[in-house]
Amino acid sequence: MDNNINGVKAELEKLGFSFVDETTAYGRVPERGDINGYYIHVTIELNNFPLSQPSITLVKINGKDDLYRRIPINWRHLDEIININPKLSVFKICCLHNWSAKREYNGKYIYERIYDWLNSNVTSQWNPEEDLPSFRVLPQYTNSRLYLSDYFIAKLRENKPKILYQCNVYHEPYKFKSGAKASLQKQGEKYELTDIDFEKNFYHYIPDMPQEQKFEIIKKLRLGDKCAKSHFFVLRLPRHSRFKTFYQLLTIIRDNINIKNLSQEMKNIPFIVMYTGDKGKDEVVSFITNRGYVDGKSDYLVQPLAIESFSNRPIGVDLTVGLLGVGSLGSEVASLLVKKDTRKILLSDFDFLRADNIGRHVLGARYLGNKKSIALANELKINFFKFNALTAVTDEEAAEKADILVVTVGNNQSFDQLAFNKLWHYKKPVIWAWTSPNNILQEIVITTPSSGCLNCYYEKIKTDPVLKQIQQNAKDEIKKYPSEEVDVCGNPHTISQMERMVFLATQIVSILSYYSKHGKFKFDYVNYYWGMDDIIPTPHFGYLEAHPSCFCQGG
Amino acid sequence: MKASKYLSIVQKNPRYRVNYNPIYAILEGLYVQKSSEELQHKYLINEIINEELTKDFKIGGHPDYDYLLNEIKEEKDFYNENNQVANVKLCSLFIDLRNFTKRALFVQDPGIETIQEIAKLKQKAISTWIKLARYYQGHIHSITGDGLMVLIGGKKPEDEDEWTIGARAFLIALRVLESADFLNDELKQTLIEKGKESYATNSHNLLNIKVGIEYSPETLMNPQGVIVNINGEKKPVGEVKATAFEIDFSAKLLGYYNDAEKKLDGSPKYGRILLFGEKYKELMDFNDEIDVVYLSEYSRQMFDTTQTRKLYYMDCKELKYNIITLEDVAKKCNVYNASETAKNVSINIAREEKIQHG
Repeated sequence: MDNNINGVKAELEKLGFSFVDETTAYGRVPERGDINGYYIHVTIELNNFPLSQPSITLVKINGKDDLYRRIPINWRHLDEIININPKLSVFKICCLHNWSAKREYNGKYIYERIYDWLNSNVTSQWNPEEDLPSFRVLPQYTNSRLYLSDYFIAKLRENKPKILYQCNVYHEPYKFKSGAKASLQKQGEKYELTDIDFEKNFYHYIPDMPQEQKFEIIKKLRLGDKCAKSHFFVLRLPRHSRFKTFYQLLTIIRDNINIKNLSQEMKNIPFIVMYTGDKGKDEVVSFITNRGYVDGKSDYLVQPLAIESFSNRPIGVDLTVGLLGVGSLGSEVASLLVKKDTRKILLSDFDFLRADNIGRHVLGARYLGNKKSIALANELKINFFKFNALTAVTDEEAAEKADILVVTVGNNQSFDQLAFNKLWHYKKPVIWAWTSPNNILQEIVITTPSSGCLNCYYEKIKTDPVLKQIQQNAKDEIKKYPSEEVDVCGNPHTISQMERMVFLATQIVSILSYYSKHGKFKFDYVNYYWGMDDIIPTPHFGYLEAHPSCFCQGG
Repeated sequence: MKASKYLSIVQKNPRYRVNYNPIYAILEGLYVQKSSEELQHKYLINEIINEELTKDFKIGGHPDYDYLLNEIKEEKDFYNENNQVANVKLCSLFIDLRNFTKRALFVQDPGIETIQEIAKLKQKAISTWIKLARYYQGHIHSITGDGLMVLIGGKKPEDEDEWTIGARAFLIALRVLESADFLNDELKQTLIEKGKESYATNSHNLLNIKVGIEYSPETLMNPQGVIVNINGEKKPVGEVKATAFEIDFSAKLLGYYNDAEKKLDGSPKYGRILLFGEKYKELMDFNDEIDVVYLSEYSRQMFDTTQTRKLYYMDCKELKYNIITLEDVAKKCNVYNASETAKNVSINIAREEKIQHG
């Protein structure tokens, strides 16, 4: 390590850098002259070099250190580290992409990357490899978070530029540096910015959006009933308003927007601002400023709020999937289908969540005694904001409305009722799945009007040499271990290996995903055999013909 | 919309549902493997092909009607209608390597290819097509100069539905056209290895395959040959042939290949054209997703009468590698499933009793 850093130091010194302390070099780029009239001074911090990427700070442009107003608006790949006063912001140069400890990443390399960064900025010609997506110049490092939705952003886009709109935003009551806590009766903007402790506390800001159910839910889950409220100003800047630093942004707002006549009761001013970003796309920033800034009586002070938004992902499984049985396996399938952004999931299960289900089901203890289908639908709706995607239904409704059914009911009798009675003449595909004790053998069978029936599969097991062998191997392996655990009442419960149950659920969802994309299946049945200590299952798949011995063929 | 019982055929014969292109299993073998799924599919397909090539496999005649030849005891028996079967529904598929004969002309000068290499190339093509034809349960009626004549249809359960006969012919045709890509890739590689890269980029030096199909709903299956006398015993020597205008018309179609090729956009142009007659067009009833192009008319005069048949072609560029199963073909045709649904029966579940849960 020492050799590494000493080599780098020597190279940097050769390039005109001097060391202000053991690990911090200070120097000029380019070493002599300028690029299109620009030269910069930087510091390069080599803490934990080479494992940690050197931190490069822009110190001066053309010999001047007032970077907060001097950085040209078209410069890119700069991070602003702000500490309440934007005049004191520190600007980090992002030019060492995908850093790792390599011998060729030496002092000369670091210098050349800084040189290239400056050259790209002053000529606006970026090498695509260096123009990687990066944080914008505005700061991201803060404990405070504002949650926005696509709907909110769309509404904001419709606002007239330069007009101040207002919205209520809920958040945790402020805590002060003095240790005191804000009153719930008083609006959040009525406190001095400098009194609020943003360093030791986490604040979550949730706009009041009654038309968006997800915001009502996160407000309830995150803030509860005892939350505070602030009036935020919402502003869209005209497309020609360009800035790079926070100071430049605040100056644009103060000089161009009518904010002089705000109520004197407002001691801090929260903003949500939409502007045109580097690449011509709309971007949004949020922050809280001090009153003095608005009145022009003091330095700008600013507390940035990081913005997080909920993605509106496209539908991943474009099907209505009916799940008959949402026990151990079915609930995992439902949970994955929600995460796969399935168009619609219909859940059917007459059973209630029992004590022995806990730890073997997606639902936890707070749903004990609840009907599994209803509780699961509610749980997944709320956790993943899928309000219209999940419905608890009966078997018949699921069969009627679904494009495809997944049957994971708990026992043979229930399977038989569905396979040879309720769904006997069913015209849509059905995925049947079950598992043995300890999940040693997991089986998925897909029946369609063009395949054999479930009983044809049972017949095939008797005649197909590979299937026969797999069943025998499984039988031998199952025998070696206890298959059931008995509760205090003496009731037996089949033992499951949950990681394998989740695996089986992933396979069912993969089959559904493929069917959604291609309208067909890759196979009609698949077996996964796991020896008790196996980590990787052995799969075997095949196609299911109508078996001549099966009763469906008159056999 | 045409009624078809194709689903009941698929239900009993899963090869028509196998969602993996058999051309990969035949030409890539088990050596090129991207995933365990692929490997299992290749095993499965090769198993089917191996079974087809061992079980009563023969070239010539038609296995469902070859018994007709055994009925022949004397010369006059060839003409006896009792020894013939009329109105057999067949698809006739004719495959030919285009401009292949000329390759042997250049063995000495410029001597890029040896005669052994040319023979090897042809053998590879012919054996691939035989395997493909058998995979889709077509019968090799004859091996011609540089090609093959395949009959699809007969007396087996899979031959019960006429649209399905046509769909199987379509699947064979697509696979055969795909084989041009594989064979040319290999040919190009050989030329490159010989340091003749420039020849590898010129399509005139590469292979092209012509494929024609016609549907013959009223075929006469009749034995043809002679009676020979072996040690005093009279025996028929010959084979059962399919006789109908449409059977031979699939070969005639190939004569229009150049006219169709001129109409193609883009390149390469090899392995794209499927030629077919009006009976096949009528049988398949392709929907709007398939661009069936009218090409020409075949017109002949005899007995003071003129008979004409229309010829069509389709560019299979976008269909190759995408149409794999019988149901894929059905999606491109105006056809609906008219298979009988399962009857109410007395239930007898074959599951071995075991604990299963979910």
